[in-house]
Amino acid sequence: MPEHFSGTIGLDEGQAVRKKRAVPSSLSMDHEQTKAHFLEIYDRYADDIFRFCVLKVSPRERAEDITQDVFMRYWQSLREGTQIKNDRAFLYTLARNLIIDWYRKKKESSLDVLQEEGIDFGSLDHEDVLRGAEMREALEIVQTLDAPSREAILLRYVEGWSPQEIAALSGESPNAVSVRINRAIKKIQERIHA
Amino acid sequence: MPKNMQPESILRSLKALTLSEQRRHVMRAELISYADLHAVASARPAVRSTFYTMRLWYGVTAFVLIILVGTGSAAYASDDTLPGDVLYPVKVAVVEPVHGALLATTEEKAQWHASLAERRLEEATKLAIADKLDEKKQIFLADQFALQVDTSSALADTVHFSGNEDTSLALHSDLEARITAHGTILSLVTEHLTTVASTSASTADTIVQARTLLMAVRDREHAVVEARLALERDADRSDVAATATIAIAAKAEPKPEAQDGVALMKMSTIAPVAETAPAEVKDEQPVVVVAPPSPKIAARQAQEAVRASEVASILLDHAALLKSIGIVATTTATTTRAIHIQEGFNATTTIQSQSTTTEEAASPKFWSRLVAPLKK
Repeated sequence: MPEHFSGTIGLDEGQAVRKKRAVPSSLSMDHEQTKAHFLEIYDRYADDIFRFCVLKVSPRERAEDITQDVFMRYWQSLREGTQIKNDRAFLYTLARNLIIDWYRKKKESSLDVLQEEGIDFGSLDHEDVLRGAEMREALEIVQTLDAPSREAILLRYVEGWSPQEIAALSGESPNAVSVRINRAIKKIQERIHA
Repeated sequence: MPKNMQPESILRSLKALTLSEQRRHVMRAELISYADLHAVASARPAVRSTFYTMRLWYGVTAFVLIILVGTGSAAYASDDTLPGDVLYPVKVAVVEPVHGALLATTEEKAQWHASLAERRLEEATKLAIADKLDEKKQIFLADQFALQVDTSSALADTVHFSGNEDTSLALHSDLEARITAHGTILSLVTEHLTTVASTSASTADTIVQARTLLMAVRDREHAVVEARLALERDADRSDVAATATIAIAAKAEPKPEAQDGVALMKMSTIAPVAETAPAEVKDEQPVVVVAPPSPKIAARQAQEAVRASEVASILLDHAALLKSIGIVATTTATTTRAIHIQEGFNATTTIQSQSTTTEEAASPKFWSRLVAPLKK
């Protein structure tokens, strides 16, 4: 039986109670189903989104934060009932937008600032020495490219996206994406054999 | 070494760039908390469960007829339908929303949605009696019940924020009474089903479904009570004198279970002050009861009595239904208690007469008369 009068309670608690009421009971199947789908998507794409972010922003913690923000926004969209045709594309678009916002906040005009700061990939605790060396080499190479080319190269060769998929994300035509990728590869080869 | 490799394979090594196991775990847990905090509301504008709205073309016809015939307090063929009946989708997807949309004031809408919440529980009860409460129907009714309760509460809040605090409190109180009453009824029916000699498979399932639904009802009931109490506290906060006296009155209030000879009242969270307080006349704190109550306490007591009498009326309305399935003894107790509550309602200023009536009720002889029919 509820306590009728347990002392003076402030208006805030009253409002908190009302807000609590807005949360549906745990019997809501809709919530559980949506959450299950959400977690499935998280398990599948968390690393990919993180990788996308960490190669664009530094320090590493910032990339982790942005990754989390991406999924929080994704949840909000699910909650609002937005029809999402392609979850992966949606996530990447969110990530891209958040990264652009972050750069704007830093009051930098171009994405090339990353080249000065360098990519912070933190302590890679699970790889062997050779792999680490390989990755550092790869990152050095990648850093020499301009931002759009870097993105295209990474999506193509690390994530395995087709030029069409990359074009859908970046807004360029698939043709332009292919040209960009080819030029970038050429540039990389020159560097390797330099 | 790496210089001989193709750019593609070098780049592929970056695939190993991932979140640490720990960070991934922590992030996942944080996201789960976030998701639960911003939960998916089951309150959506349209009727969400498609199970009963698929045959909406019936609804279109009905809608046209409504427009032609006009509305008002017309009785529609779909009025008494239950989930599973042919015209039920029409009731839920057309008749009810149309009625609601045509109501003018927020207050009326709040009451309408409260009555819809009531209806969903009534339907569940009738289905339970007929042994037809399966999982699909239960989920639909539980869902709709929650939706209507939330909508009614939200509308009552709107009334509150537009300045009409008393009306808002009355609306919350009314909703609470409806939920309590029907929760009690459904509970009684479920209990009765468990005592039925032959428990077929469908009855067993019905019992499970009814209990699941009751959990949802309890959940909402608790939330509604909390909201109503919060509103009362907001209103009472300024009155310091009232607070002190209220504290004393609260201590004097005995648990309802001690006075009830009937399982019925264990389900109810409402303990009408009008009925229990006079029992204390025998105790050492008659001062509290006899002293003229402050306006705030009197208002609260009156509100409780109103709620109690509402609960009683609803129980009375359904006495015939309960009787039909053999809950006779309880009906007797219900009716008698209802009468006493009705009498108690008018007694905020006439505490004397109140104590006489309910002293009678509290006497052992009276309760043994009530309890006797229950013994099998």
